[in-house]
Amino acid sequence: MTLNDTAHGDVLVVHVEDSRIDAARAPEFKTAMTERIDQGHVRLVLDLSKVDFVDSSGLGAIVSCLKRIGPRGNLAVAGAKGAVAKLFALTRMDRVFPLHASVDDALKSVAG
Amino acid sequence: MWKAPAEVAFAVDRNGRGYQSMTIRTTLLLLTGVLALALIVAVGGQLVAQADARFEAQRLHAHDSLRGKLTLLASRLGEERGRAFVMLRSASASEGFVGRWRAARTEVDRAFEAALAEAGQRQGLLSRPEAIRATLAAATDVLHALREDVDEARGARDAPRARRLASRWFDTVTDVIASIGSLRLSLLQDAPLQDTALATESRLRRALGLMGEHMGRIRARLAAADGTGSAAESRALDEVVRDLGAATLALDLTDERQISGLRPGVADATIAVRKEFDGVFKPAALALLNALRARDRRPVTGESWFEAATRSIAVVDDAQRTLLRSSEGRLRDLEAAGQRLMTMWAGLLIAGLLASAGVMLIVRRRVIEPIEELSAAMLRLAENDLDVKLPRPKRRDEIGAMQTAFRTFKANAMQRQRLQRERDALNESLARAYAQLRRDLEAAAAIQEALLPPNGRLGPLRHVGLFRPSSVVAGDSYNVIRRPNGAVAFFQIDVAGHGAPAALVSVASQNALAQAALGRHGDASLAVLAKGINSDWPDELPYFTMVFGEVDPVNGEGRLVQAGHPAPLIVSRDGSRRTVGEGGLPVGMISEADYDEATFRLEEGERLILYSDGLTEAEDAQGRPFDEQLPALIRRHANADAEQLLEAIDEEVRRWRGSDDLDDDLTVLVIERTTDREVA
Repeated sequence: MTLNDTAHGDVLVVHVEDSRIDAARAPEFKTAMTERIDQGHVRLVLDLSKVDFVDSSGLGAIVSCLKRIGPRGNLAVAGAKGAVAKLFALTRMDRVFPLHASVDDALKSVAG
Repeated sequence: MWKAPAEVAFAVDRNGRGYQSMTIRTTLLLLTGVLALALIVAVGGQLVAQADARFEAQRLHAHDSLRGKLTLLASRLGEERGRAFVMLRSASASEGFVGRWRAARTEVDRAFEAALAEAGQRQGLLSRPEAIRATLAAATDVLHALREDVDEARGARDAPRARRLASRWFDTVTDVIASIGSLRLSLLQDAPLQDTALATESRLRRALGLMGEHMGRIRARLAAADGTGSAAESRALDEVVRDLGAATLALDLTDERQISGLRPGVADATIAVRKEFDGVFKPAALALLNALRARDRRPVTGESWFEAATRSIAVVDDAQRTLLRSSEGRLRDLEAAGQRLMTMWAGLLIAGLLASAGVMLIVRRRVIEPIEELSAAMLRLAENDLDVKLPRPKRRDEIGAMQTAFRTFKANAMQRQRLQRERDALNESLARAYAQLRRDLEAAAAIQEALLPPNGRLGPLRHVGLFRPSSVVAGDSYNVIRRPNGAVAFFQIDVAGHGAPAALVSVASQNALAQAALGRHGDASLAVLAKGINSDWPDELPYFTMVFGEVDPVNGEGRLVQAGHPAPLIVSRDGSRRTVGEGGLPVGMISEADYDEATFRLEEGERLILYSDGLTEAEDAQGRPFDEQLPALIRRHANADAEQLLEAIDEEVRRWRGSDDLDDDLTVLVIERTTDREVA
């Protein structure tokens, strides 16, 4: 699981470089994200523009990150497309965290 | 003798074929043996040759020694012949002369005995001992017979008879001396001398022998001559002249050229002979001869001439003895050299044999036995016999290294064996545990499947299910229940993840949903119901997606809650389709989530199709999801039985996957509103 970070002020953008977040990769993804949150990065943008597929485990992992951040900060998801966007729509994730077409859009909303 | 097993093992290979069983043992021992044999043959050959040479030297010595004795015998005989001849010819002989005659006779007997003793002693080395003895015996017989005649004639004091006997005596003894000379020659021929010095000495001895003999004849004849000038005396004096010539010729054989290179003593003796002959004997003999011829008064008496001549001959005999001693010395040296060489070769042979035996012993102890021991141990180790023992290596050479390597092999093999045993035990317990788990899971799967409703009909609603877990048990589940008010409740669940934990949660959630479906009051909102289940869902459990709904079998009016689950499809007989629901949060993910209720109407002949994402997300080898294949597949089977539709879906997914394996559980539930005619 490869994650690349770019800092924008106090917002950390996490770029997921793998094409899948599935049962095989979800635990590792969750651990990596939890580390960042525990280091104090509570304003996060998750860039999924390179991800083609997220399954239920992946979805669970993303939601658990959100729960871990809790009221301290917020998490936005950017660049979801195709099957990923469909899954988010199906599970109504727009009610849980904001979905943005691009990282820039997400940064604006998180900063705001 | 423990070698047998190793050799047997070597002689037959693993396939049972015999092969060249030339073991290291055979090779090394054969090589050492061949070397030892070559040594024995070479040294033995030398030894035999040396023994032959030594025997030859002994033989030469024997023959030469006997020849020496015969030479002295001939000289003694010459003196006896001369003295007896003089006494027989002249009536008066001084007492001293007679005494010396007797002494000469004794000397001759001794010389005979000495020669015979020598011949007897060296019998084995002489070529013809019998012939030699016979010749000597014949000579003795002839001499003894003559001596009797001589004694008789002297006793009778018959001067004419004595004078007659004198010439017979002289001639016969001369013949005896000649026969002894022949015997010497034949001895020389039997054992010819190859050594140059020895041959020269032998020639000198022969020349001196001849000289002595001729001088002896001259001595006798001149001593016996009475100056009468008779015809017999004249013939005798002619003989003296011939003998003088012969003696001079013989002396010429001892000239400087002959004696050069001989030992100084020998050369001196020869020169003394020349001096004596040329300076004393020959002038005296010539003076006497001339006086006799001229019938002058004799310058000396017969007896005094005889004694003077005897002194000259003694010089010759001395030279003869010196030569004999020299030859004897040379022959002894030859013999001793032969003996030394033989001893040396015998010593070499023994040393060679000892060395060969030593080499064999060392090769056996230091090479063959350790290698055989190692090889036997290796073979046993190769057959996994770990009880095999080998002495601790004490050597720092290659064999020591091999022994160390062997011990390492053995230690490794023992460790391997122990690890293998541990692995085997572990594998066995794992296999048992796995079998137990597998049995448990299979039992759980049977229970899980028993919880699913059998395909059937509730009034005009027919329901058919497809259930394919990705492993033994599934996180998917569904149910169709008739409520007390006649409505038909249905739901489909997909717990996040799969396998045993998902299956357990799946059973729990199925139970919760079934309770909720049955316990609900009348037309209470499904959205509220879903919200209740969601908020009650324990945080520790994985979330699940579901479609939960109900339909009125009479008019087909229905409603449902979609919670993260794919939206159900309604498909008409003509193949047209629509989806129900706007999506929703999975249950157990966000405890304060709200849910929406969607309504629908299932017309007669229409089918409500619920499916888990295991169907749409089933990927082919290139990673493409089955998703897009679904609409066409459903359209193709719009008019077929629901069972046929599910069979087709099952088949198509398998073909799409390229195998029977699934990554995720796959569940499809079809609820069909049949026409009244179909009900009948």
